[in-house]
Amino acid sequence: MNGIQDWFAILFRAFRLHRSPLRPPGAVREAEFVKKCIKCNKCAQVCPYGSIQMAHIEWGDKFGTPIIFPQRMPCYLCMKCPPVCPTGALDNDLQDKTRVRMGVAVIDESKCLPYMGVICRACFERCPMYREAITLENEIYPKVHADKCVGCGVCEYVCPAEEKAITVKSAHDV
Amino acid sequence: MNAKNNHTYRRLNRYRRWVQALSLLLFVAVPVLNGSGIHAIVGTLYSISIGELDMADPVMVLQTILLTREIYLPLLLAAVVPVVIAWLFGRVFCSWVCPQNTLSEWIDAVQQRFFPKRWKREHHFKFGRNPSAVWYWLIFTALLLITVILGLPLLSYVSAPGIITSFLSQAILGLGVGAEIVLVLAIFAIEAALFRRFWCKYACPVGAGLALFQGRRSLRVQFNTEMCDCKPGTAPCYAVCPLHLAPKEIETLYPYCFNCGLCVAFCENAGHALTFGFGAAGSQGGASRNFEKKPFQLIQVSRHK
Repeated sequence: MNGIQDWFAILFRAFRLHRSPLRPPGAVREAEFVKKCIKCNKCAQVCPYGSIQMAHIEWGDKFGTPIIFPQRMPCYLCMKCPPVCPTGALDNDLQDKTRVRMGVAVIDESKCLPYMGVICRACFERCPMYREAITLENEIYPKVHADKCVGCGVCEYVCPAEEKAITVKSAHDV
Repeated sequence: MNAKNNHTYRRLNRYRRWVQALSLLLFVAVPVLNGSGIHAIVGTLYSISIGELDMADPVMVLQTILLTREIYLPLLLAAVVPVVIAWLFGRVFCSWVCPQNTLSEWIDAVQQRFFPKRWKREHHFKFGRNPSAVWYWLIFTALLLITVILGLPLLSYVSAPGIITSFLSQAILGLGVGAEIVLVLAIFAIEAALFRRFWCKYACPVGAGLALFQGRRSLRVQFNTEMCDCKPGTAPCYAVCPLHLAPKEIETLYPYCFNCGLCVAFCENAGHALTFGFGAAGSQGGASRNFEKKPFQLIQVSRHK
């Protein structure tokens, strides 16, 4: 039985042109999430920022599930979506923003402006976990602290570098 | 009581059409209200919350339990209201609310208006038999089995009401237009060209999930052979049935019938032989078995009384 499931996973991975998606706050592990989510759209409907998008058929087996694209609109951690989830695919009891683990921000030093000699504190200043998730080394170089990062994607959204220097890697990487 | 002037069921059917149109409108209104910050009603036909009341499609609950092999209590409780309604009134969700059925009925009405010849050919009267219930449950079981084997939420991929309402929500909230709607369009196309109303009648897992909870005591179409005064070889109730069932054969009518009441409403023009009632009435059931054997003779006997 697992053989068939693996085979389908491979087939569907062929559809998946993007990297692993960022799920709304409180999401259970990806494999479980796809099984639990019943595609009711409630999380997207209550999201006041339009951060939560719904996956369409190009996501293969994930279609109809909620995804956050930080470059389009990051999560501002209003915590309205976890309580409305009917299936517990999003942890209904999660209200503490600091406990959210959607992913982890990763800095590509070859693209990051301060490492090229330009002063930029965009991600540091906008991070909702201010001075905890992102700190400045020597008051210049941003550093991410994975244990504090909630993965909301605000840093990726505000990064002024032409090709985003800071990106959020999903906590659900399959 | 003058039964001949009693048009209760025809009025009921008029209410049904209003509810159908309003529920379709509701699923347009929900995302519009959500978009303007009002979250009193959120959700789609997969699962909907009206104020504090959570409701979920029972078959989605079943699917989640099968896939995750654990029971999440709030989800289980969300299925209670739909299950109780199905237990009391049968699959009235399909006939009163489901947008797939509503749109199919509207398409049918358009066909009747603009292609009357073709419509008549397809609706031409014949003493058909109801298909065996085995097919209904076989298709549903197959869908459940494939869901479990693949480990994918297949039932939600093919839930037409869910897809239509999600599509409306996503289109209105600007979340993109998904190709999922192609499945629904394909159903409409196949129904129009090949197999009339095959989806609601045989394949839909949502309807089957509700039919699971429909019992012998639920609201059912009842048939009183004595009162049927249609001429031999005519039966308006067969012709009006949107699912092309044979309403007079009440023994085999379920689980296919979704209690839309069109046959009952039409019978008010004739003998009031078809009515709605709770539970399978014993004596009338027996009469229907006789009717299956010698339908014409029995009708004539009752006419000469």
